[in-house]
Amino acid sequence: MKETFLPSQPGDDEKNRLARILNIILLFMSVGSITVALIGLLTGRSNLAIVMCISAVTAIVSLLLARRGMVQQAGFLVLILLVAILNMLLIIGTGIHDIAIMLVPVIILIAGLLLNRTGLILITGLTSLSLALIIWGEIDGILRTPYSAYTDWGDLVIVFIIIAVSTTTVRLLIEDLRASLRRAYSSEAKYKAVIENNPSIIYIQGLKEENPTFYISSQVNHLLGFSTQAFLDEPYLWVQLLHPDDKEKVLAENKRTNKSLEPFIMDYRMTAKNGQVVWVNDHAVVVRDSNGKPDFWLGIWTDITERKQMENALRLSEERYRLISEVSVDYTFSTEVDAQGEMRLTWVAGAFQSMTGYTFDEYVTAGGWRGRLHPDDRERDDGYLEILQKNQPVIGEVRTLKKDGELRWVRVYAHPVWERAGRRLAGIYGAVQDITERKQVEAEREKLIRELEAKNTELEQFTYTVSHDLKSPLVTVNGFLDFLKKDVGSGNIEKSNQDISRISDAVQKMEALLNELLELSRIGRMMNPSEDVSFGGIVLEARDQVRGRLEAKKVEVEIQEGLPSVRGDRVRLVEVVQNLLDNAAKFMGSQPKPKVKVGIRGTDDRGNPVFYVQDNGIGIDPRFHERIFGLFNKLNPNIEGTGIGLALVKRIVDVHGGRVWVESDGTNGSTFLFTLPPIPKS
Amino acid sequence: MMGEPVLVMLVEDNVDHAELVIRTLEDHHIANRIQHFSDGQAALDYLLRREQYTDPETSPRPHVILLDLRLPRVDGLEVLQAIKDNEELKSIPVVVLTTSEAERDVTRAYHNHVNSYLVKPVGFEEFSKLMNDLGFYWLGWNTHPRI
Repeated sequence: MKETFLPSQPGDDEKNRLARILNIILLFMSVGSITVALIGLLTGRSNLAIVMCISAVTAIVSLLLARRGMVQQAGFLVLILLVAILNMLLIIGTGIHDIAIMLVPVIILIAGLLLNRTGLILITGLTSLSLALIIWGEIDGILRTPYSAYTDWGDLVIVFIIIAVSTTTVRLLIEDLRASLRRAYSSEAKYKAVIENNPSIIYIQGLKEENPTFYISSQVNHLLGFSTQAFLDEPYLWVQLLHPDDKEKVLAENKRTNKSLEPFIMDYRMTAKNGQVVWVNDHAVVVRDSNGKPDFWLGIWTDITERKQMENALRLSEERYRLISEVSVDYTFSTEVDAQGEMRLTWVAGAFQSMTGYTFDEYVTAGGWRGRLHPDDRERDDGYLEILQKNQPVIGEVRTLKKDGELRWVRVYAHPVWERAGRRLAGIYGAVQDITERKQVEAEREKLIRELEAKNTELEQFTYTVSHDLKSPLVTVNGFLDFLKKDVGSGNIEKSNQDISRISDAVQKMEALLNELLELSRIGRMMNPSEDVSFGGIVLEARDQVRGRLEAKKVEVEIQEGLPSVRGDRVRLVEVVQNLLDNAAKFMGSQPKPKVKVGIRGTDDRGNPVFYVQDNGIGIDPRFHERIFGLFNKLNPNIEGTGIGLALVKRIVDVHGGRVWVESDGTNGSTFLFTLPPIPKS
Repeated sequence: MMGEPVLVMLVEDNVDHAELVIRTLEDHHIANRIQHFSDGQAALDYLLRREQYTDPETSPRPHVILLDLRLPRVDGLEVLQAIKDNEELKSIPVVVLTTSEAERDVTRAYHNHVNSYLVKPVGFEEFSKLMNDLGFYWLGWNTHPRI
């Protein structure tokens, strides 16, 4: 029984409808026949009981036939039975005037419902024929009933009219019904086709928590690997399929929208039966019934896995680009020459922002490339543009100002965009690279090379001077040894003694030279550790060491009070002052009141104190101000000393990072000045 | 030529060396007169007839100049340059006599048109021989220009 009512395939719809009607009729017939049969038995009308028993049996047989799917056959059987029952009732009753005649329209109605056109005509014909036979029997006297006397051929006409009217009416009714059904069926099929062929999944869910599934379109099988039935059997299956990472937020939103009845719109992940993760876009709205009361959720699931994958790929690509921009030290750019002939930046990519400190718009506002160029490099940049205007690429190096004012060296690789028609530069594309560090390294290297060159020159000068000055005494010694031989040979004692003294002097001079050279070479190599020392103390110590010469020449020494402390090698610094004091005493000339002043004269531009040793001696011609600091450069060969003193002073001051120079007009004494590093402020 | 007394100018800051040169030349009876200057400035003053050397009678032009390179105040090369840049003095033969064998000095001296470059030998025998040869060559064999 149950199978009969199951939703059937579209082709079996008609059959099912008939089966349903037939079933009802047959049930009524079975029950009715058995009831009437019982009444007949109880009232002693055995004829009736037998007829009803046959009727009941026939009805049950038809029922079995119908269940086997033989609906037409069962219907036909039932109707023949009904016709037979009608005839029997008429025969056992009062003939054509019996009340059972009322069954005629019923039979025709049932035939119309159950049978096709042929079946209906057959049943109508059969009924007409049997009734005609009954009328003929009554008129002819074969059938005798209490009302047979009233029967005539006119009754046959009436019966035919009733049958014709009934048949036509039933036929029209049935046609109309069938047409309606067909229309309904086709409309439903259309909607069904729309739903089932839609790429999205349509579902209906209940309003209570976790929303049980009432309906879901069949495509869900394709997406999640579970059939519609699976969702109907387990209304909460959709919750189980939620991706663990998204479950919480989906259910939270679900709860919220269940309460507020706002549309539920969300992208989330679900896990298909095969374990694959799928992205869906879920869009559901509440459908209300005709009274406006919320009835159910109608929703659509759209598979957005591909879109999400693309989005993800795009995001990854953007992320990668951003990361590359961050680590990159270059940026690329393009410019355009606009209608006014101005070069306009149109596009940048790479480390633009980190290199300039500006966003694109800020950069343009701040004057762009030219505006951020170091003023001293504009001319060079003009030169690059000239090359580009000849349609040739150029590689240049300039300094640019960052937003924070920091000066950076950049190398720019620029290519012209050439407009053939106008034979002019239409724009530039290229790359800019930060080369500040390389430039710094280069500058450092240049500085080292210069220092090394200076050292080399110094060394060359040193070797040169040393070879010359050390050879001189040897020439002297050898020469006078020869003279000595001759003088001794000729017995000239006096001359011999002179020769010996010359030799002895030369040897002493050589020794002194060697000692001082050794001393000079030690400076810088053999330094004492730096300490903070009072410069006043240094001056006093130096003065004590040259006390002999100062006193011999009656030189007065004046030392300024409150001299600051300096940082350096105390022993060497004493040597500096000592040499300068010694020099001052040496070159006093005929000064009647020889005086030396030691003091401080402010600081230099780097904040180093400038000390001085000033004398009122013979002075130094400005032409010789440089030369006096050279090794063995003596201005007066008759003055004692080796010519190393000032070279030594210069070397010590150099090693301390200071500077030494002399001021003198060549007549009124000289002032030696030197700078020394101050004590660093802690 | 022979009737004219030969005058040698010696520019040498080292008095010992000056004495060696003078005595050696005297021993060989080469020079009639040797004028010694111990620095470049004085030598130039003499040649250019400045300061106390204004009188041409007492300050005659030398026939040859023996010039040391390392001199106080005005360096030997500067003296050489001054001589060779001077129209009147440039024809006087200048012989550099120095202890320096430095390539740089040799080059610069010749660049400044020195007539000869001699290095003082350390051994006295060679020194003596050099002085002898120098005397013969520059003061004997060599024909001097008219000054």
